[in-house]
Amino acid sequence: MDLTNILMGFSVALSWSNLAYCFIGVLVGTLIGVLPGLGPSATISLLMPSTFYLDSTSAVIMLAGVYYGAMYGGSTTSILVNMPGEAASVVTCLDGYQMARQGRGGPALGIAAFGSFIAGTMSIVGLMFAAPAMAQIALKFGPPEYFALIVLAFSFLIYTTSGSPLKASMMAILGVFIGTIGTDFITGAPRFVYGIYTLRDGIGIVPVVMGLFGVAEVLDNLEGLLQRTQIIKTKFTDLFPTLQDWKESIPAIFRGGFIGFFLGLLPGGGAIMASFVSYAAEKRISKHPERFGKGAVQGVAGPESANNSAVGANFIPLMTFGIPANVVMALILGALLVHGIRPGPMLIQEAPQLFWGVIASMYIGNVMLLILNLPLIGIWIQVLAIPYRILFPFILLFCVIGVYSLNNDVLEIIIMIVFGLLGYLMRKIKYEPTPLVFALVLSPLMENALRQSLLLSEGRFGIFFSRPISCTLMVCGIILFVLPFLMPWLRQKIVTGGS
Amino acid sequence: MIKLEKFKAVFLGFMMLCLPAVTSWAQEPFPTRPIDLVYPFAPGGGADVATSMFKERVGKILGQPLVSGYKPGGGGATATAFVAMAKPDGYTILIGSNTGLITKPLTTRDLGYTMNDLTPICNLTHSPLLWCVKEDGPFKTMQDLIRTAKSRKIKYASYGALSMAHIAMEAVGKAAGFQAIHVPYPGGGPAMAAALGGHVDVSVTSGTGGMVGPGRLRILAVSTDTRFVSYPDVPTMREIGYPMNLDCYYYIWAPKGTPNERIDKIYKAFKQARDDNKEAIEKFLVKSEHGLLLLSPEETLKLAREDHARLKKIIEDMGVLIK
Repeated sequence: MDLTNILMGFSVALSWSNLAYCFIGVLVGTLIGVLPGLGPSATISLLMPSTFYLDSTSAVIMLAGVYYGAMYGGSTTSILVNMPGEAASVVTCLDGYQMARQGRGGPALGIAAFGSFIAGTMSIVGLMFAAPAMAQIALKFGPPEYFALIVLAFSFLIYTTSGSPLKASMMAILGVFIGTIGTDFITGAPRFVYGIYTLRDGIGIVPVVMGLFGVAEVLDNLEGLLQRTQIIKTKFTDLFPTLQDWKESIPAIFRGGFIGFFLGLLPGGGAIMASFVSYAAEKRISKHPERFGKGAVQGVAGPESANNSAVGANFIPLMTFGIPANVVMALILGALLVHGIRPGPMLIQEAPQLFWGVIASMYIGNVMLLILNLPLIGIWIQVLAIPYRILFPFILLFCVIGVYSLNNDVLEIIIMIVFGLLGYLMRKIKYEPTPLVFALVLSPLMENALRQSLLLSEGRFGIFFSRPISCTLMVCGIILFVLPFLMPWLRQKIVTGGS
Repeated sequence: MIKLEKFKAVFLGFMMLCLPAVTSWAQEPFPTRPIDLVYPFAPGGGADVATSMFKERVGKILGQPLVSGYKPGGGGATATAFVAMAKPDGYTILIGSNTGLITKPLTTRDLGYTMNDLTPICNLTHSPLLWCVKEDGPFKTMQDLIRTAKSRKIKYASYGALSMAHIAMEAVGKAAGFQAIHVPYPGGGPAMAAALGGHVDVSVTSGTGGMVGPGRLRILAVSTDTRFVSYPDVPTMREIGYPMNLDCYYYIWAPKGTPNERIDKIYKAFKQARDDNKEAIEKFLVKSEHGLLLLSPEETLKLAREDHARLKKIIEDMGVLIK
């Protein structure tokens, strides 16, 4: 590995102007991430015109900073007020918010920040060394492989529910149904659209998540408001994670980093799936799975690391092939094209200062974010000390602004409110929103992958098993799914076999 | 009754006050405030490429800036419907492509608008459909591909169902006499990846994002009748024997009823912006896989009508025309 390249990259990234753009990017990104609803894609769209006047390297440095900054910031409101700042921070709500309610909001934020930093750096290292090789692997992923991957993800995710499996399945099926609303992209046929423009693109994950988690939480808390003014215990034990926290988190961080890197590589994969899978993996591997959902620190460490790692990995298909992995990457591709830069295998040769400069600035950006976020933890915690009757209108206000900022569409605000009411009712009768969200995100992907695969195979289901990668993933998925049912039988066999 | 007389008098008086307002509106200097340029895609899409070299200049020429408003959604339908229903005063205009203006109304029920609810201002650029295969794959020419397509069902990727790419490939299939399996992908990027990864035989797209070259993609043909400036060595479908004259046009439209002087003024501004900076604009567009094609309102209307007729025929043959 040629060190001169990365050193050259640092010399580009450490120029005063690029440092400034990096800082602006991560700062804006963090703020955007904290504000619920307003996401990196909206922000990058807004910033795009100003990047026309910048040099291409500086433009990408700034936009990339916004993206991973948003992943850092997204965890803040998830932890403090159960409102995911990003769809990728939904799982952080599950345990992070519980930690905050127990007075451990500081450690939660700290672990999230450090995890994001470590995993983000891991993915940049991966990007540096493995970009072309990883890109080749990513190309091998066709629809059957995606389908198999999602089957695997689903079998993981079954373990994330703490309550009754029947109720979880019902929520998942509801999620699948909501996921069908929109325009079927294989045939172009509208489903459940009723001629309403907003619904043509489906029900967005952001209004749903903000409603189910954020608004529902506010409604729930308002019930208790009559008795008390503060919802969160403000006796803050520490602002920083304890040694025990670190011991438990470090492995989760590394696992999350790997999961995020791998899933971020695949076009269509990304931070959301990475955070779900990481959460499920942590719960599955944990010796105390019952702690999840009640403030297990791994439930914050894993997903937050995974989503930041996915961001770094997202750049690989873009830089090496010009394939955008998701909307944000497509925007960055757009910014590059406007500057006349064509990403592709030639990019590394034709514009090395862009490629290495951006990589170097990602290291720098991660450091900046860590330095930015840590002192802010103390300030964010104070937010919790605000009497709830003053806090909740602001929360709702930010929700509304956030949702509206996506598409300037009032109907999406109404969708959020509807899901807020639904979420509130769900809490009353003890149904969890998480399976609904998972299903809503994954089932459209799964359906499309299935149908594309069957188109490719002209109807033969064997395609999932005739290709090596997809066969492996399918088999793993099936084994994982079946295993817990088989465990008692297997254990029996081993015991009797031994004697 | 006295009350009624009084009412009528007041009413008439009020109407007379309004009259000057109605007539003078069309003679106001134009523009006196920024013009909203509505985009049907998210930023970074084809429409951005088409307009980026013009926007600033045109704003200076007109004396008021062009403000970009992005309204992605519905494959362009949301933005187009929005402009179709906007006030026809020249302050809201659409940068659209023929997908949103022509193919969508032909294939979608309850869309809420057709091409006739808008009136063209000018055409800016065009970007033909490209048939892309793996560079080191078995197909070296379009004829190779068609030959294979006749003997076995080939699979092709497009960037969406009922997209221009889909329509173009179906047109070839009909003309050459083969049926291919259409595998839609959510966008040009994944569609190219499918071709690169060997999951499909060919990918039909508009713009490759720079993936042409050894070890990557080869373009077999372009969908127009004349050669494309960005890829002058690639044969056209007409040369190969299947003329279809399909293209993705990026043009500017205004709601029907917008006064002709205003339309003309905007067109002249774009024309001047093009004249002032022709070389740089062409260079940029060629690199971005667009061809410069500035046309007047009348020429654009003619183009759109012909395009509509062509597309209607193909869509009808595909069996997806809605009544």
